[in-house]
Amino acid sequence: MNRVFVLENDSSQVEPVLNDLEAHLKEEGFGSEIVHDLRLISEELLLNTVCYGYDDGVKDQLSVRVIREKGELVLEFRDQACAFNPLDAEDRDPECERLGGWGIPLLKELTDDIQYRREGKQNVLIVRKSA
Amino acid sequence: MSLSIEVLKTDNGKCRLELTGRLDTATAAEFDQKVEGLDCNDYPVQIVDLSSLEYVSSAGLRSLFKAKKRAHSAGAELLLVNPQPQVRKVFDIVKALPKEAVFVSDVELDAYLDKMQRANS
Repeated sequence: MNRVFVLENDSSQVEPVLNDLEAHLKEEGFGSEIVHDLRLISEELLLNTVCYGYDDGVKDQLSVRVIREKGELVLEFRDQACAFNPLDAEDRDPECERLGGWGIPLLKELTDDIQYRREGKQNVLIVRKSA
Repeated sequence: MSLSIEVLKTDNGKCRLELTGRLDTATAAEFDQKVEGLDCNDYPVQIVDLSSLEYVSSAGLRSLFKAKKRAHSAGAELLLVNPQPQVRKVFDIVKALPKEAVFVSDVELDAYLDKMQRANS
């Protein structure tokens, strides 16, 4: 299994991609919990990139590649947004009353492994989850 | 799947919002709008029933958190009940909502409301 989902950096394109991703994972026979978690991770990452990763007017195409590898599912996110390594983001203070900042804790808790690298102008984020 | 919201109002100051589907970036505004339509004076106890909510993302959490703050600042109370395991898992990870505002069942919620009523009478 190796499938790529593509969208532009337009927030209205995120939900259709999430729906396609979810449908694909279900077709591949993955259980409801892993499908839920991967949809959630993808929503958090894609929206964060689309909403905060670009200067005004910059157009880009983002991709999510889904790969099945030896008992795990791998999601590879690529974009040309500003360099951003979610592993460097500070953990949110749970006592803080500020709204938001919950995407990174969800990403860290719901995956088994996260790797980030900058390839030229691209952010490449690879998340792994046992399947 | 989107979100459907059924609002059940009673004449004893309680209203109940039953959410079905997903509370996420695509549907959070719809929830916000429903909540904004609730008068906190008429409905000082606002219950959000999550028994048919299958998914919540941080956009949905933000809406729940905002709704709770809105109620609190108007002297009302917004309580969440019946979160399903996948939604509870998200609550547990982000710790965005105080534990005392989330009830695992209607029985637990009713016991709390009875206690509050006794305390106020």
